[in-house]
Order: sequence, then structure tokens, then C-alpha cells
Amino acid sequence: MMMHDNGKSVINPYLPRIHKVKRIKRETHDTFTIEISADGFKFMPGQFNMLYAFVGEVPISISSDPADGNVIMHTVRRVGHTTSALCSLKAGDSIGVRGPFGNPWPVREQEGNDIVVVAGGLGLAPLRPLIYHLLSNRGRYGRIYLLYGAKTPRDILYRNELARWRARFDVDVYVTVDKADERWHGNVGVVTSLIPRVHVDPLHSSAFVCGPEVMMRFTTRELINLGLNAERIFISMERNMKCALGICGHCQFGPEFICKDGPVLSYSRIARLLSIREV
Amino acid sequence: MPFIVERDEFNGFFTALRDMGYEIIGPRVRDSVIVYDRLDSVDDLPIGMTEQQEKGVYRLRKRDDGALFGYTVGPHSWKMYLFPPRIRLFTAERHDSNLKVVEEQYSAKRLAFVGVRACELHAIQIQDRVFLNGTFKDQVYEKQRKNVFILAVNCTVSSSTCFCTSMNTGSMVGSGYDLVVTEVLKPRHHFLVDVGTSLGHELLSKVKHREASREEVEHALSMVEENARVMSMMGRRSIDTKNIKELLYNSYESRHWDDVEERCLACANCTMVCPTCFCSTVEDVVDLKGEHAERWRVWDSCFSDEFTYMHGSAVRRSRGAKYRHWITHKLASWIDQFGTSGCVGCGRCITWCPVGIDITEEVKALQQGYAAGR
Amino acid sequence: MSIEESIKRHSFFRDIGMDVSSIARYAQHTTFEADHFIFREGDDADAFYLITHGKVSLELSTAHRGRIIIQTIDEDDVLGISWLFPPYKWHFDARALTLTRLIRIDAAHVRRMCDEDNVFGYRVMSKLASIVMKRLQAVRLQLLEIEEM
Repeated sequence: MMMHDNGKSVINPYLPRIHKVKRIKRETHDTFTIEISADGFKFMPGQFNMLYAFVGEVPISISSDPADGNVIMHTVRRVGHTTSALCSLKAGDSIGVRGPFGNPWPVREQEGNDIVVVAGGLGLAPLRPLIYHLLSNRGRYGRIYLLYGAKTPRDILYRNELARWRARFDVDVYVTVDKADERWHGNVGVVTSLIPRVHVDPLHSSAFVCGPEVMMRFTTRELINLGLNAERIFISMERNMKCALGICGHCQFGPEFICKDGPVLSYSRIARLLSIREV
Repeated sequence: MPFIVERDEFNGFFTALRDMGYEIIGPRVRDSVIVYDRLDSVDDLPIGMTEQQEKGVYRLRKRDDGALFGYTVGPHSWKMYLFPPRIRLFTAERHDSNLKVVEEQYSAKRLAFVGVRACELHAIQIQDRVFLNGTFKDQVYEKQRKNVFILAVNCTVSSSTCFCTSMNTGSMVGSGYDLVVTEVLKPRHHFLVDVGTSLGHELLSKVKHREASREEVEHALSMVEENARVMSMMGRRSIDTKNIKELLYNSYESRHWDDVEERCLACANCTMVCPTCFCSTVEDVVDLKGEHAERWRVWDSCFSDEFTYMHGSAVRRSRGAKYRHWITHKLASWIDQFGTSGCVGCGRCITWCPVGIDITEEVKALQQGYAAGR
Repeated sequence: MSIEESIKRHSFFRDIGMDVSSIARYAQHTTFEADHFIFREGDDADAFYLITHGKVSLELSTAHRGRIIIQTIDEDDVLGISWLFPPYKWHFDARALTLTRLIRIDAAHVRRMCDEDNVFGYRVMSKLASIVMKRLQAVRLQLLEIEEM
């Protein structure tokens, strides 16, 4: 989408562009990945789209491989009116898309460093493009850890990818769940309980974190205890969004517009605000 | 080079503006308040009227003269014309699996804003930064903004709620006008006129005028300066803007918000009357057959629960936190976001707050609390 | 590796700064096959365990939902805290999820050592308190996350 011309939009930025749904993949009991035709759409890991499903529009992170020119994926949890409409789409249906929006994960700046990726719940979705990027540029990074916490075993996303990444010798993948029954033979505990498994050079390490806000607060605290620099811990924030253009005012978090200054922000930039209630 | 236009010739501006294709918008009395609405002639102005404004109080009063601009600002602001309260963004048609989005064609009328005050011109310029200077331009705003003629007025009167001098936005109009007038009532009712643009020059050329003498200029401007002096006196409302950003950023956890919580009703009046508040939301309307949908943008307020609704609840639920967000945005984060304060000192939020919350008093309370380490 | 060496190398005793050789006399290696219980809820908490290999789950049986795994702990973690506090009964079931090797230390002996040597007792207490605090924080986060995720 030709969104910019010398930094200014030339096309009505409120207008969705129509894409075709290629496939709806059921990830868990309530979460679906909507795969749409790319049609020249380009994005960077960590960016999001506004998806329009006739009854409404919602911000959804892009969860596919940025190097894949054919398909763009969005992983959606069915919670409300619009997300239900999105999850009910079928192959061949049309969908409205505005984007990509937002500040991406700063992958280039972290080259040469060890990388710790920490995901909680649906927070794995905006991190998946980042992981694809790290793995296709594996030589540019030191050790890579992926720590992922889900609520229960049935909430685990992207099982195939997790298995594939786990099988690689050049990335350490740990998955934990908050609650499990006896059939689960993996880790049980919050995602922060995986952090002691991380063995990196803290002075040359970067972390990318996404999950519920409280999980990100606890996680960043543990990463700082590990010796990581707050300026190299990046988190992806979420707030109510209506326009994604920095105009509607909804997504403000202190001075930041999450839609354009975020969603990815360095922890050092917002550490204080994160500890304050109702910001 | 300033000029003089006599009171009897003032309607010439209205006639000429209409000849130039403008619809004239300006102050007029409706339902016992001065609002902005369509004007047909000079007689539609609130001639000989003024208002009494205080915390939670607005009363129209008669003046003992025939002043055209002898009042300050009411609940309306010009943003309602530049940033419409309700506008359709697009329509969509859905048939089987096909979805078609139809772009809205916006047309802008040529509007002449008559009676724009210094604080209001600042407010327009602040909204210009929001809607035109970001990564994305707001097309509706831009289109209308380019089709606006601004006839500004220097303030020679002020309400008790005005504090523009402390915000550096008045009482003298700075820039951004096509024409600016200063009303002089005595000894002879006339107007000092200054030209800001060639368009303003074109308008003036169609109205009977003459060059002003130095004395006439000094006399008129001294009244504007006197008004500013009165507003700056002790006991008048003001905000000390020194370190204001730091004050608010450091007051997130002040106990003062609990005090606001006790008073604020979260009614959103302050955001509706504020000439710079720009928040909006969207509404999707779908017909019963599910074939036709429309998406509308409407004014919104950070005081509603829906404003921050996410995953089943609002981020800002308490009224204290909502007010904290509003005042911190207005006076502090606005500076980081747009390089200017979001407050122009017009005092509307003070007058129209039903429980009399006064932004200038809240800042003072925060300053005192901060100094006392609370 | 001698049992004394294994104890010294385990994270719990690694930096305790005390001679732990006497503990070794009351310690033994023990191995559990996958799915075998190491202890059961309500049993006497007469030992504490240093995990040297494998993974252990702490579980509760519930009437309606069967067995719920509360937490899993791994190599280099400590298993069991109830041995330090009266009435010295286990609060959970502990089950080996994989082949698990542990060092079992007689609790009565360690309690006696703590009573006799208060410096040693303080250090053991500090270590356990930090483990308890971490687990408490995790439970709090778990509660919050269940609401948010």
C-alpha cells in the first residue's frame, strides 16, 4: 500500500485495502491464524495491521515470516464481536487491511548479541516474525533462547514451529504452562521460572518480550537481575486503538502513542510508567 | 499598516465575504449561550451582550453599549468545523465473499470564521500540528482548513476564567489570521484592522476603510494591552508553566488524584469544550441484511470507560486516573508529542465543569504537593 | 563423584560458605523412574532432596479435575520445604516426570545441625526463604496471568 509520499499519506489512511483470505488455521480452541494473500504487502517483525471484518476493525499483530512474499498471517483470539467475525472467515472471503503500522523489533541494532525471546500467551504471535528473522539470519546473532509460557497445554500456539525450533541445535527453546494435568510432561510454572536456564553474556545480550503486561513486568525484572541492560530489553505494548495513525488518542501510554511510538518500546523508556497504576 | 473601519461599515465584511463565496460562521446567542453558528449579517452577532463566567457558571448579561465583541468564549470552539464531531469514513458493500470499500468524497465549504480570539487561533494552530504535521495527514481536516478565512479579534475584555496571558496565547492575536480587528467603543465606535494575508487584503479592499493614525493605533492596542495587564494581576487565574512538564510527570503518584476522584464526575464536558482535545472513536453500522456497512468517526473523550477498554476491562477506571491522564496530556505529554502545550488558557473547561474543577487550581495544588513532597 | 562432592556442587550448597561434609553422612543417592512418586501429600516430611538430574512435578489430586500439576522443578533445584516446619508433613505429591536422580538428605539431621550451629542454620534458612519467595512470586504472577491471558 502506498501509504507514504515524502512522509505524508497520499491515500486516505482510514481506508482498508481488500485482501483475499487464503486459509484459516485453527491454532487452539479459541485462537486462529488468518492467512491472507500478500499482494506486495511488506512489513517488519513486530508491526501490526488493522483488520476490518465488516462489523468492525481491530489491531492484530502480524505473525508470519517477513521474508515470505506470498502470505501474511495474523493470529487472532476469538474474544469479541469483531474477532469472532474474523475467525469465522473462510478461504476465498475478502478482508479489509490497513497497515503495516508501528515500530518494529529493532533486529539490526542487536546483531552480534545473545538474544533472549520471552513470550506469554498470545504474545508469541508478534514474536514469531522476529524468530523467523533471527533464524534466517542465524550467523548474525550469538546464543538464542526462546522462553514461552502458555496458560495450559491446550493453549500452546504454533506447535509445529516450536517442535521444529526445538530440534535445532542453535536455539534453546523452553516451554512452560501455568497449569496442567498429569498427561503433560513438560514444565509447569510461570515463564519467569525459565529464566534461570538462560546462560548469556549479559553485557552483550538483548531481550524481546511480549505477553500480558504483568508478565512483562515480572520478566523484565528478572532479565535485569540477570544483568541485561534495560535499554536492550524491548517489550511490545498493547492499548485500545481506533485509528493506528496517532490521531484518535486512545492508545496513549504517558507521552507514547502505542500505535506509532510503539508497540515495541525499550524497557528503559517506559519502566517507570509500567509500574504506575491506570496509565 | 493598520486601517480603520467604522462601525457602520462593519457589515461590509459580511457582504464581501459572501460575495467571495464564504459561508460566515461566528458567535451568536442561542439558548442563552453564545455559540458558533451561521451568521447572515452583523446583526446576528451578540451585540451589546457579555457573559459572566466562573467555575461551573455561565450567565449571559447585557452590556450598556453596542459592542459587537464584548464577550469572550462560550462552549463551542472552531474545532467543530475543522474536525467534525461526526463524519463517515467509508461505506462497504458485501456480497457473498466479496467485500468492496467505497471511499468517502469530502467536499469542503468555504467558511469564514468571524470573531476568532487569540487563544482560539492558538488552538487551531495546535490542532494543525495534530492533524497535519504527523506521519499521516487527516484529509477531512486538511481540506476544510485550506478553505477557511479567519477574521480574528483582539480581546479588550476577559472573563474571570480566562488565563491566556499565563499560557502566552493572548490577549493580542499573534499570527495565522487573514484579518484581525480591535474593537474601539469610545469616543467613536470603530475598528482597527490589520491585514495578515493577501486574502485578508482582498477582503478589506471591498470594505470602506482608511489608514489609521498613530494615535488611533496606540489607543486601540493600549486597550488590548490593558486587558492583558488586568488578566496578569495578582488574584487572577493563571498557570505557572515553569517546569510544568516535569511537575506533571513527577506527579503520577501524587495523592492529589484521590482528591480529584472525590469531585470529578467523568462527564467529559472538559474534553468536549476544549478547543484542542482531538480524541475520536469509530462506530460501525451494518444493515440488517449484512450487505451494507458504514464506518463513522465521532468525537470521543478520555473520560469514558470504553476509551481504554481492553480484554474485558478499562485500563483507566478511576476518575482520578482519568483526570490525571487528561491534565497530564494537556499540559505535559502534549509538549513531547507536538512541541507545544495543549492548553491555550481559554478557561472553557473551568466554566463548563459541573462541579467546578479548575485546571489552574489543580496545577497549584500539584505544585504545593510536589514542594511538600506529597 | 562422591556424594559429598555432589552436595557441594549443587546450587543449594555451592555458595553457602560452610563445611557441608557432615551432611554427606546423612545423605544418599536415590533414583526414580518416570511416573513414580517421590513422596505423597500427607506423608512425613522426613527428608529434603537435591535434584541432580531429571524433572519432578508437584501435584495435587482434586475431586473434579483429577491430578493438577502445580509446578515442575528441575536439575539443580531443591525439592521439599515442609521438612523444616512443623508438623513436618508434605503438602503436595512429588512425581518424577522423567528418570530422576536426587540426593536425599535426612531432615532430622539437618534440623539438628541448624539448632546447634546457628550460622549454618541462618544460611540454610536464607537459602530456603529465597526459594520460597521466588515460588510465592511465581504463584502471584500465575494468579494475575490467569486473569489476563
